[in-house]
Amino acid sequence: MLNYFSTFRQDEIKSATIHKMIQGSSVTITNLSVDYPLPFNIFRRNKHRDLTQVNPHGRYRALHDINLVICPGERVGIVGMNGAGKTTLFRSLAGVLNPADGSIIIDNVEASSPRRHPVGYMAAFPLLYRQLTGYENLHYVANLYHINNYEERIKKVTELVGLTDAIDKYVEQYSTGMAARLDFARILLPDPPLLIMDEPFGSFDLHFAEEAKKIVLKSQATVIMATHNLNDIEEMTDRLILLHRGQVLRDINFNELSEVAPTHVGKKTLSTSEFVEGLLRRASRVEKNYCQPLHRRHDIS
Amino acid sequence: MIYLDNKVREALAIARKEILIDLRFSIAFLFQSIVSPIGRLVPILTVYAATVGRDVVSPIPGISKETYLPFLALGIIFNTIWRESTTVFIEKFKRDKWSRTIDLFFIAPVHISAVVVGIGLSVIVQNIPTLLAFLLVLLIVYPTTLLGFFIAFLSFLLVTIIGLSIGLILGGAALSSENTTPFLTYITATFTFLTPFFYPVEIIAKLPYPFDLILTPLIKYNPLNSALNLARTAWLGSGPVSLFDLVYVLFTAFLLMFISINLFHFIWRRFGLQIG
Repeated sequence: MLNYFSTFRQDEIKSATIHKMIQGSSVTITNLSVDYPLPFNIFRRNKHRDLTQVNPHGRYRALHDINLVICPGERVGIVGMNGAGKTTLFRSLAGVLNPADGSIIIDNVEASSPRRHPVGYMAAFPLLYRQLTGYENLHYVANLYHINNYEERIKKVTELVGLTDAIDKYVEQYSTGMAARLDFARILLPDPPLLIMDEPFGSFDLHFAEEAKKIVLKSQATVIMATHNLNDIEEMTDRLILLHRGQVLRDINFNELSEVAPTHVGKKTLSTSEFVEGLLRRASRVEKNYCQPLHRRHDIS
Repeated sequence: MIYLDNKVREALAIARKEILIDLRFSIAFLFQSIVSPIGRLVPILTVYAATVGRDVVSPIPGISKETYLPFLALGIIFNTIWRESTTVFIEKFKRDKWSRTIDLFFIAPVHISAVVVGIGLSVIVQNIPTLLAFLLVLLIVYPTTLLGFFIAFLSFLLVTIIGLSIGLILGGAALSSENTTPFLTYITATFTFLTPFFYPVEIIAKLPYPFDLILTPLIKYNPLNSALNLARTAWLGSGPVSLFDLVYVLFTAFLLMFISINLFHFIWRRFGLQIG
C-alpha cells in the first residue's frame, strides 16, 4: 500500500449524502480524433501558428487517435498542460463536439446520440444563464432531462450544495464560488451515471471542496476529471491519463503504480506531488484496453 | 407517446426560459414590443396621412382615405412578426454560443425540433403585446367579420412559420460563422423590401422600365405578399379571398419549415459545434 493513500478518510465518505446510488457508465473511445476549423480573420494572420497539428484539410487537430476503455465506476484523472486537449476530450464525451474520426461509446450508445444516458458535464466555467435565478436554471435543466418530481430533486441538490437561501437570487448576483456550486447542483440533478468534470474544485471554498469530493466519491458514477491539483488526483482517482498535444502519453492504473515508479528515493518518502510528477516523467505507458475488476484504494464496503 | 411528451416538455422548457430572460427587464421588453413598432410606423403614417388622408381621390392606387389606417396597422403587425421571427435565432444562438450555454442542448441532449419549437413559441408569446395592441386599434378603426379576423390571424401564424423557417437557416449560418451575419441581414432586408408591408402591391405597375419588369414577378410571387394580400382582403372586405394565395402560403410555410429543419440539422451537427 502506498503511503499517501492513508490520507483519505473512509468515515468522511460514509457521511457524504447523495440521494441515489447509481451504476456508473462504461466508456469506450476508439481512434478518436477531433478537429477544429482554424479561425478565419483577414486582419489577423498569425504567422507563428504552430502548424504541426494542422491536418491536410486545414483544420486544427485537437485530439489525435485516442483509444481508451473506462470501466463502470472507474474514476479517471486527466492531466496535461494547457492546450493538451483535456477540454476537447470532455466536450466530445459530453456530446458537444462531433469526432472527425473514431467513436465514443457510452453504455453501448454513441456519445452524440439523442438516446444516450444523461451525462453530468461540469465545464471549467458554469453553464448557467446569468439572467435567470438559481431555481429557474435548475428548473430549466430538470425539464431538459425530463426529471419527474423535479421540485423535490431541486430542493435536495440545493440543500446538498448549500444554496437554499440563495436559490431565488439571480445568478449574476452570485459570487464565483456560489455559481460553481449551482453548476455542481446542475450536474447532480439528473443523477448521471457519468460525471465529466473539468477542474471542478478550484472555485469552491476549502470546506465545500471537501464536501463536493465526498459527494462524488460516494456516488457510483464513473468519474472523468481534469485537474492540475495533484491532491485531487491522489484523493479522487483510480487511474491517471496524461494528455499531451492531443494524444495519450501515459495511462496509469494506480493499482500498478509500484510496478511503474518507485515511491521512495533513498530514505526519502516522496510527497504526492513529487511522486506524480516523477511518475509522469518516468512511467512507461500501460495499455488499458480491457476492463478488470476494480480494487479501489477507497472501497466503501 | 412518452417520447412525444418529453419533446413537448423540452420545447416548453426552452420557451419558458427564453420568455423569462426577455422579461428580466420587463419595461424594456414592453417598450420594445409596443413602442418600437409605433416608432417605425410613425414616419410612414405621416406620409400617408399627408397624401391619402386629405384627398377624396387617392393618388396611391389600392388605398383610400378610409382604408389607409387598417392597411398600415396590418402591415406593421406583419412587419414586426417578420422582423422578430427572422432575427430571433441569430440573436439567441449567438448569445448562447458565446456564453457556452448552448452546450446544454447537447449535454442533455435535446432534440433539434424541441429547440426550434421552443424558441418559436417564445417568439409568438413575445409578440402577443404587439398583436393585441394593433389588433385593438384595427378593431376600433375598422371592425371586421369573424371570418375576416380568422383569416387574418391564420395569415399571421403562417408568416410566423415562414419567418421562423428562414430565421432558422440564418441562425444556423450565423452559428457556423459570424462572418456570414452581414450577408444574412441583407437577405432579410431584401425580403422586407420585396414585401408590401407599407406600400400597396398595385404601386409596382407604376414603376418605370426596367424596374417594373424585375420587381413585379419578385413581389407577386413572394409568399409574404400572398399572406398580406389574404389578411388585407379578408379584413377590409375589399374582394373575395384568393384561394391561390391561401394554398400558396400554406404550401410555402410547410415546405420552408421542412427544408429549414433539415438544413439546420445538418449545419448544427456539421458546423455548429465547431466553436471551441
